[in-house]
Amino acid sequence: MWLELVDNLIIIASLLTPLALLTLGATMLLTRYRSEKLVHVLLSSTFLGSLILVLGAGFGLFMSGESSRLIDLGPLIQLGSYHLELVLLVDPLSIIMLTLNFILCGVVGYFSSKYLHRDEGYYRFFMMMLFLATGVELAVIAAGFDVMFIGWELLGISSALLVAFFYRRQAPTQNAFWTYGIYRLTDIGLLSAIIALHHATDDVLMSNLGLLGSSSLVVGALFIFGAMGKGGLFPFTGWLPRAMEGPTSSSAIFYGALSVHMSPFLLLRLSPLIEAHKELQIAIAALGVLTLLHASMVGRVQTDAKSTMAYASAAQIGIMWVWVALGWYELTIIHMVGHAIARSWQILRAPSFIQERRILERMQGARVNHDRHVERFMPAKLERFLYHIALQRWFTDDFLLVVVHTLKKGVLWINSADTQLFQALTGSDKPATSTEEESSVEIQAKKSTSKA
Amino acid sequence: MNVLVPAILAALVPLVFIVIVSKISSRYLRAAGVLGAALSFGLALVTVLLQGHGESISTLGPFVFHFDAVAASLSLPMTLAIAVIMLATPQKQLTTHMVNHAMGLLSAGLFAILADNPVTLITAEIISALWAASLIREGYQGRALRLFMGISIVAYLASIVVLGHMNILVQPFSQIEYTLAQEMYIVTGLLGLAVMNRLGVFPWSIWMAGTFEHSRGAQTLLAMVPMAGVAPAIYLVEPMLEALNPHMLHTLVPVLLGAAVTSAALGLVQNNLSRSFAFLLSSVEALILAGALDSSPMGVTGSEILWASTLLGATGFGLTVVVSMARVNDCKFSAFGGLAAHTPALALFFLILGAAMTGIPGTTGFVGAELILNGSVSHGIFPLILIVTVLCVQGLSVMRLFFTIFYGTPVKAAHGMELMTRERVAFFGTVIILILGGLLPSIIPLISATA
Repeated sequence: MWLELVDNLIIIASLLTPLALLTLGATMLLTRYRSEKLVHVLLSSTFLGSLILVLGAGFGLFMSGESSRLIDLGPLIQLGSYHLELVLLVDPLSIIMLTLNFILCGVVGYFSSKYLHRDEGYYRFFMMMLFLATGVELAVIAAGFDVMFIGWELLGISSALLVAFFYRRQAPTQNAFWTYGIYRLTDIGLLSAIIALHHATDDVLMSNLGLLGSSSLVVGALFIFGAMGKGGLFPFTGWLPRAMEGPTSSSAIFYGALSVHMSPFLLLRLSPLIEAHKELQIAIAALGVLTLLHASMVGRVQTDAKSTMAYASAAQIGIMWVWVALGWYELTIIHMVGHAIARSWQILRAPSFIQERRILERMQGARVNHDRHVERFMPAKLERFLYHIALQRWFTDDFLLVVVHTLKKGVLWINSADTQLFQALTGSDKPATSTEEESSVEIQAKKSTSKA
Repeated sequence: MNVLVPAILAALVPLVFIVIVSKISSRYLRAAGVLGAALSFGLALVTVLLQGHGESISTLGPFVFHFDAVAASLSLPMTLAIAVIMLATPQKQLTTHMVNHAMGLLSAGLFAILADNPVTLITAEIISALWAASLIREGYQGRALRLFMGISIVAYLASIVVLGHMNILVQPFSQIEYTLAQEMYIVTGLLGLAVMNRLGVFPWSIWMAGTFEHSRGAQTLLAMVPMAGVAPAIYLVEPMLEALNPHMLHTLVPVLLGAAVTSAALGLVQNNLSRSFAFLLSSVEALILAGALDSSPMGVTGSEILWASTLLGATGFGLTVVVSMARVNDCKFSAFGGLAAHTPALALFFLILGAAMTGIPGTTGFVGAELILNGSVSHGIFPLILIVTVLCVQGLSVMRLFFTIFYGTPVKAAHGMELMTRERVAFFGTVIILILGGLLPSIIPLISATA
């Protein structure tokens, strides 16, 4: 009875957010009707309803005495021996993550309904928020990596679109593209790992990770590469402060709470694979420590609150990676939940920090002293050197840019050859752009003549 | 009862509409075009519903037709794609010439997917290439179309001659016995050239990028959308290469994937919308072709599904590109910026359709890409990583286009920038079908037939 209840509650809970997304999306696409109240009611009821259902499912699971439950909703694709099953996994980790998802989405949604009141991007923001909630929900509850990847992708797209929320300025758009670029780059690892897993075990259920044969080390390495992007692991940390260009509330929920924690969450799901290979454990620990060092050092020299918090988030993710490498999974979960709540609160309060600091100083009657750091005990030369390195963010972004520009040069050469060949073959003596320039000049001239 | 009767009628109806369109006033062009495509869609739907309830092979002289799951999966999106083009094409670009050619291409495309022997298939492909060649009459773009479609036509004609010499021209595909003859190498080469050129796979993408850059119109889109070109690869090139030398397939697939990566990368560095779209489409078409030449049944099915999805996805996305260019009367990035402020619905459709064309999860394209990916594993880890790279670069390219066109400092507002009702209906319908196919893949005949 309890397990049936768990199944029903989870199925209904997992449908609520996508339904709200479809309703809001269809209203935006097909009509010109806009109402902040409607959005507010839709979101509040969705998140509250989903939260109650998930808590009910958690209670049901606890009462049933089972540690986890698989809900098989049948094959999504079945083609000969190949099948993509839609299976949901209900276990303490997914219940905790779902609860966190709906509580934080609800709280940040409520905050944003005031924060973005009458903003032109009000509807866009909440649409993206529903995308995020759906993405997290899918990624967290999926029992197979391919369904998880669908949620992972939704998360990436909504994240990039929210970084570029203030789209009239160029910087947010550029940063959003950088962020999305890092996501796509690391997705190469994740998707390759999923397909390799499918090929090796005939299924991509997380429970089949132990069945991987000789290829398990390669698959594990690909998965780890895939997890590096979303978590802002070294050397991809640079996107995290860039992503703070979005509205404060989106920064809180994405880069303080849910999105960045999908990286240690993926590692937790990969635990059977990680435990089987010392090499993977060492790699995860090394990446975690490196990220911790990098983010702590670079975060110290930032001059704005949001960038400092972004690096602080990355440092915490680094620590979580170390916990996973050590096999301390419960600690990782506690750390994830605690950090998500604390950091999102901190980011939401970021605009008030300066004011609060002034109040604190007035009460103390003196300046708040932040000068007693460990680097003060270093020789001046070393301190200056480290300061320079930190200011340049360990040159990680510069290195990535050099790689991108080198590749771009080659592609531009091919493009130039392509254009020249087209001109030679068709007898066109001018590139199309100049032709269009001329035609637009002609149109302008015609317009002015007709006006006259 | 022969279920091919409504299928052949579906392919003949557009030809009747060519006559009708030539006679009517230009005011009724759009209605006539939509009606023609809708009638054809209705007949194709009747065939799909009747499938399995009667004879599905028919012979008309040397021409043999067959209706199977592939034809069922492709005929519906093909007719819908033309209906969407007819609905969403900007008013100024909709001419009698364009509607006639849309109907002609639809008819040839439907005959190509119904074909069951080499002569029927290649004839339909030649007719399709002829329609495409005469789409644009003047300028560099017209010259480019005639030149490149001419190459395909010559290659197809030459392959007819060689296949005739091999006595397999009129044999149904299932009865052809491929021998290790010298002529087979020649036919494979000729058909391979014709197909890659027709589809615009890199380096033949040159005609797509050049033509679309110069014309910027929906009529060029008609030649670019893969109505034809893939079928000869699936029914002739792949079995021939399999019989000749399977190792050639193992070499050819990574080469095609390399072409897909190059095209996707080229799409990423353009500074004009039309060229970016053309390279993106070229990349998707290279991926379809790579799947078609994959020796595994899963890869071939994936390629067919991706083909069906691209028919609709590329049409929808291409039209959002055309509609965007029509709104600023330019294709250079410098002319765009902040369009989301003037037309938010177009921005959303652009993003969803672009993502759908490049196989984002939750759309039909993802189902095709997923199957191609799984099929590719048999070729080793290198093709697998190439396909994943293609998908990732394509996604990045769509996002770059979206940010460039719709975000940034808004261009000067003009009247009529918001989407019209007919455009909304066309784009919304396309999005719904692509998402339905992605969330419930079992409705795709190719999946339900092999389940």
